[in-house]
Amino acid sequence: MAASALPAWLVLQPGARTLRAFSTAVSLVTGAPAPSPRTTERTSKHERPLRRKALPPRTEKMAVDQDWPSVYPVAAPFKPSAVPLPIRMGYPVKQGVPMAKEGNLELLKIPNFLHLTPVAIKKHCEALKDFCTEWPAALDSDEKCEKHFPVEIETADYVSSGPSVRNPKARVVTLRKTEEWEKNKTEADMEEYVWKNSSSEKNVLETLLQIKAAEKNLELNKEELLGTKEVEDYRKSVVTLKNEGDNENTLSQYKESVKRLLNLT
Amino acid sequence: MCGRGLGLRNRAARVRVSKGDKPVTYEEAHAPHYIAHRKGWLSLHTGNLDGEDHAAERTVEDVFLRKFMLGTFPGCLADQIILKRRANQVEICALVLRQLPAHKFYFLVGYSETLLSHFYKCPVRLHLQTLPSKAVYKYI
Repeated sequence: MAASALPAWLVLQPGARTLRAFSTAVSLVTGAPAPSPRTTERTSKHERPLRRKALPPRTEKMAVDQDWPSVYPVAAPFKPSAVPLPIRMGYPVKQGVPMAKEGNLELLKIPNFLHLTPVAIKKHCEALKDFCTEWPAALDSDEKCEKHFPVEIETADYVSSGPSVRNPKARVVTLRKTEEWEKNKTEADMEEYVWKNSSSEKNVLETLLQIKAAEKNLELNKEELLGTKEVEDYRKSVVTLKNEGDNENTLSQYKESVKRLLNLT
Repeated sequence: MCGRGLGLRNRAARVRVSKGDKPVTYEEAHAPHYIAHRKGWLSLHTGNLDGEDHAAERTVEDVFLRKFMLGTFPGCLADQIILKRRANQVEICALVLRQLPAHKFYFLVGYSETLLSHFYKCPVRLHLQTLPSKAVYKYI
């Protein structure tokens, strides 16, 4: 059922002039509008049309210590007559200032967070506290969580603007768990190639150490060797080669990295 | 002579310069290349974000809503309509001139909201801001 009640926060000030028919809306505003030809029995009232002055904006009646969350309880567009701040926005003309907030379309365009002041957020938290429970104190580390709750199911929800709730990406659900026997996985069982503790890594280190020893170089630190750029490149090319298979790209990458590693370029 | 010659000029969303007596609003005074520099967007929704769908549907809805507002408040609109979408709600923010008496405005607001909500099957809210006259940015 659509919302048919008029919103209470509608900023509407009574019109000062009354131009009746739509066809005269584009004509110039005359000093004393003529009485409406439609209603003939109440001509006396229409001789002097209702001239209600536009009321002053609500900001003039606002106290400094008012309850702001009641002015903006929910996300609402910017209302210059309800926001008591002298905000200006816009690119100024030469020797001018940005435009004032009344009738400023730029201020209307941008999303505002006037409904999320720290006071309002505190109120929200207080209201939500009743529905929250404490985190169990025994689960204070990731390992404990994984030990007691090894199965992890990951779901994603998507919010977007539009009447439809559906999003095909929300249908993806990931199930993750580690079991005891998975720790006994050997290198031959691995689904994808992992560089760490592999035979390639050991070979590279041995070769480089031998080269360095032959040159009588004192730099024999394992971590430093692993951290150099050439070894990194080599590692990347080997991983891509093993995971993605042989194609021109990966093979040429491997060639380049080996050449750089052995200083052959 | 370089660039675009005699006939090929950009004409999109530009108010051509005249004698200096034409009042223009901030929105009209800035051409489309000022969007994201001096101008914001008139319609905000998630359809144009990376990996999001239904941008076209939102755009078609926008076109209809603008035409609808233009017809429902003839001669009263001071500037372009702003459309904001939040989850499934649509918020229409409009600047209106005080051409009609208040009770007529109230009726049109209720009529538009009800009709559009039933039409689009989602809450549609109208927020009006009345002005005595159009907010002039400069005279060109």
